[in-house]
Amino acid sequence: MEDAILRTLKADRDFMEQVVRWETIPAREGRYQDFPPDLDPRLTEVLSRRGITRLYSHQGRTYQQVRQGRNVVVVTPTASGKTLSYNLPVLQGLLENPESRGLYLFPTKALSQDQQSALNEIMLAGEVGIKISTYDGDTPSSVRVSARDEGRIIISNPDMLHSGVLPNHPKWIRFFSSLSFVVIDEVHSYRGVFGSHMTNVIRRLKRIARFYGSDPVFICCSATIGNPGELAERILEEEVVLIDENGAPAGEKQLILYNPPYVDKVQGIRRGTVNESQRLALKFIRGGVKTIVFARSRLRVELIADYINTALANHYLQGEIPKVEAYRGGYLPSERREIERGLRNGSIMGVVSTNALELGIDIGGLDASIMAGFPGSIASSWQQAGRAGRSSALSVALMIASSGPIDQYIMAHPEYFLSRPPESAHLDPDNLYILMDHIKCAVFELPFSDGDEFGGPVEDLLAELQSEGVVRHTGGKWYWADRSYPSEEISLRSATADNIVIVDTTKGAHRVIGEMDRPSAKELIFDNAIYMHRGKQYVVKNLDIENRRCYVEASRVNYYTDAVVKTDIKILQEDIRQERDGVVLILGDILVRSQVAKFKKLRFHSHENVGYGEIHLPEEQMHTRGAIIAFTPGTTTGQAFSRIPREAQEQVIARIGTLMKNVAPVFLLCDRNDLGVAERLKDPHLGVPALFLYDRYPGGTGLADALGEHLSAILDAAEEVVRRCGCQEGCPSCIGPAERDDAELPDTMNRKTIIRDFLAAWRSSG
Amino acid sequence: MPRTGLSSRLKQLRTIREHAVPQKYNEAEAPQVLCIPGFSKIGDYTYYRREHFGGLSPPRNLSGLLLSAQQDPGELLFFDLETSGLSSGAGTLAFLAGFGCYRENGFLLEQFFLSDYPGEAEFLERIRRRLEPAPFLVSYNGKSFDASLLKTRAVLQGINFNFSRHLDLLYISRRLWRDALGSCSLGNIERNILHLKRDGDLPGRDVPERWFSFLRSSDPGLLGDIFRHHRQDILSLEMLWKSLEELLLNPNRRGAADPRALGLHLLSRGDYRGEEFLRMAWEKGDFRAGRLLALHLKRKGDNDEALSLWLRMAAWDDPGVYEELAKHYEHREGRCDEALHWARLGMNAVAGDRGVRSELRIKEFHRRISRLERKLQR
Repeated sequence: MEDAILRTLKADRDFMEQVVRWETIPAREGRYQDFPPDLDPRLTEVLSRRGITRLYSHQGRTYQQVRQGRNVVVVTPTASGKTLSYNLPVLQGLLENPESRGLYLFPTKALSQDQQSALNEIMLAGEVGIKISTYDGDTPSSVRVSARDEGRIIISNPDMLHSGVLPNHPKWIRFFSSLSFVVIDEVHSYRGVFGSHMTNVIRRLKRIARFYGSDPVFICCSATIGNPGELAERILEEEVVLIDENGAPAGEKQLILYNPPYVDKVQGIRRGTVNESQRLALKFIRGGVKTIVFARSRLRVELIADYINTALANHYLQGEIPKVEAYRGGYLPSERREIERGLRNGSIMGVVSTNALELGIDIGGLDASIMAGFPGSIASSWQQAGRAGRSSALSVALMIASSGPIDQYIMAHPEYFLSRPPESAHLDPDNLYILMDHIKCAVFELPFSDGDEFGGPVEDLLAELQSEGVVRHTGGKWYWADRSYPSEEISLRSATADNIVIVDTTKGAHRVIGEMDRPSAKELIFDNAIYMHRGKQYVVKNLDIENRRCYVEASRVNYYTDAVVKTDIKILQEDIRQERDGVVLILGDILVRSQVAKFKKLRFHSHENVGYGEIHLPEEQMHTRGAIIAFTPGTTTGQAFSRIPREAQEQVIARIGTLMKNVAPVFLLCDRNDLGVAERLKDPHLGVPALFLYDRYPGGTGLADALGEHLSAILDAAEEVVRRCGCQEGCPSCIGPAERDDAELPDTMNRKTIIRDFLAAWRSSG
Repeated sequence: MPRTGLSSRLKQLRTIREHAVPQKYNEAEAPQVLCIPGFSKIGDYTYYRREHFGGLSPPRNLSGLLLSAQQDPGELLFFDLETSGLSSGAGTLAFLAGFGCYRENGFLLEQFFLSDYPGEAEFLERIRRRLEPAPFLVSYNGKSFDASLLKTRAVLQGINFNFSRHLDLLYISRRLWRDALGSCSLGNIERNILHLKRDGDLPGRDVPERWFSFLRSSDPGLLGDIFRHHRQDILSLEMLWKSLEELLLNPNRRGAADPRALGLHLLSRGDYRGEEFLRMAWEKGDFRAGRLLALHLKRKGDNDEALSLWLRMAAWDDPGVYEELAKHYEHREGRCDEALHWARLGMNAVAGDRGVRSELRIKEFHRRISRLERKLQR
């Protein structure tokens, strides 16, 4: 990469004024090891033909550990030779024992296809004759039989394993009888609901492997997250060796955190990330720098790519107009492969992508990575930043902040990127709903004998399934006793399978345009709601919950709709109650009942309320895990709370709840929408003011419990966001602007000051 | 999270689910002795019955178009299963197996019944002993469903199943009657082709639930409907086979059968009577039949007739027909200008299409056009 670009940027005063941190991450020397002495000469030969004559230290260590039969998790940042880390011990094992087999699991289908092409390269070159087969939803049935019987390495994904392979294991008898290695790539993506399912899928996989007498070694690869070892152990429920020293060399990297200038300082609004990112990306591309821009939504990807291409229409670089492509889910596989190829061979100068390209798809090295907004987690940020930089060249990663509270918090704390380990991933495999679903699948696959375990004792759960009539206990065994095929109805990507399909019926058409989970549907696509989809406006004609359909029609009105949700929370069981950080913190099971009874019509831009409408929908119930913060009068914080003027109390507690929900993703690997928040001035169960933060997936995925652990850090962050914000009375970057529904406060009171002072008092009492 | 709180969480889960009224279940420690009318107990959990139908006999002559004409009908074993679910997969098991064969101047029907899960191994062993020695199996959808289900369950019980040759009547039935019937379930074939009426029959889809009810209640009274339904399935299977043999012997009495499918089946077995059925279908406007007929004529060497057929079909703007015309003019008549004309039309017809097959075709046309252009320039 040209130094010239960096010099130009440094000379640009307007740009430099907005840079909150410019950090040079020095180059790192590689650490190497010789090939292990026992490595099959066929592999040595193939590798040296590709120019590989030694291993990175982490590859060497992985090889040794796996050879000793230990499970490992390797932390593999971009460009650290991940594929080889697991291929080497697996291929060695398969060459030594012509019967043994391997299973490679990738979290997405696109990835597994990419993987096969990378593997085929090795295979073809070495002609070592190990057959690799992809087995996923796209595999034609004509190929499936040979994949099952002859594939030495099967490449698949958890969804296929769950609904296609495990329920049909007798067809895979040869495979399971000799399964020696299981590779789980991108293990960090198995968190929350997906991760909770994954642990259960692995329980099922091990159960089947045991039935056929095999006991595979697991090799996991993870991006840099806070707890890779712990996460792998949660998923495998076995001991795992953590290999996190990276022996791959890296070039020098410039990390720039850029906070766009204010457009409206009073309201805390800054220049948008779409415009800023395309403007800066153009500088790089015009300077001949290969650039990737990461945007947070599919719509933004299209917008930014379009702006850039329009601006480049008459710009020639070495006699050619540079090519910039958009890349996101929803494209045809062939289109994606074409873009990936273009990036690898250099015919594409730039790409604008969602986080789809954050995962390990091979696109070669780029020189600059621009993040249009904080990607949601530090772990993701490092993955995206890592897309720029080949092993030896100089590279730049530029993060452009949005006006949102997390982005602004990060801008205030650039050290986050440099000193702090990224977020930890959480999951809860014993989430009752998820566990019950997988026990059904497991019984379908093989009967349970009395006393059999499934991540723990399961007798009471099986008895519950028997009382539902889907399992039968007889002769000391539990059998599947239902006509259905249970995994068909269970999606690993969500806690409940009942999604509502959105159908566009404009002018008699009948076109499916989207999907939404049922609880969200009740709040967003009720009758007469305005629904926005890819920049188009629709009005909901009929939400048919029973048949899982929502019929919409194109519309043109000047307002949008917002449901007024009344949430009622009941504490079902307190598991932990402790006084800490100046409050009483309760962790337990809660029942969340939400009811939407009316909605507001709000004018676009001015957000003025132009009317109300009724909603007639049954209440939604969810049994989940919650972290409850009680401001008990006996505690210091409780006393501070009682000193807040009465008329402001409700707003204070509500705004703090939202703020905590907004900053929580900095500490927990989750999306802000994974958390629900509710407040009570006087909770009937506790009798005191309380704030409820809860997992928005039925049964919980470990978030509420993790939130309790990180409470003081979250509180610190929340307090700081408010204190540091430059606004006067609250803005979207901190506690949110004043809303029309808020109770009017006397002129002498400033909402923001009250909240700031209360948070400071709370923090100091911790 | 510790698993300790699970039971109490379960209770709460149950209370918030309205329908969760725990059912009482029957738990047999030792196999129960059941009295199932008409059946005799032949294992701990296995029951058996047989029934002989005098007068039911195989057709005198076989068409030779389904099975070899020399096939001894006495070697055929008709078979069908009732299962606990309609999907395949490890958790679906068979609990009733029925067999039919020609014996003692009639038709012998046998049923094996499994009264509970623990008896599955002995039940499967009985089935294996009945199936394996049979030289030829006849079923309806047995290849992809019944046989693979038995194999799957046998693996779980450590039993090895080897199947004989197998004639599955589903495939030919579907080809012949799909256009006329839509669904080619055995029930639909019975009603519309065999003109059978089942009175008070338990629908097949309700069979699994009925068996589960029996397991919970141990009431053999619930089983009669299942046995009757299943017995009729075997009898219908035998009838369907005879009716297909007859159709292929006398294809002119084809009834509702699709002439294209019939013609194609006959031709594929080398029976030239198929030609007239393809022609009949084509004259009724069946374009695919026309294409098959032209292909047959070309193979037979009737090039003129094939050509006139393709020319008539050119109006359909079908790339395949254009390709045949281009081939004909280039290779048979050596008229490259005419061939180029058809090849270009073919290229136009396929140009907008996607998919691997169309891509191959586009490449093929591309090559052909360049070759023809080169030839014409010379």
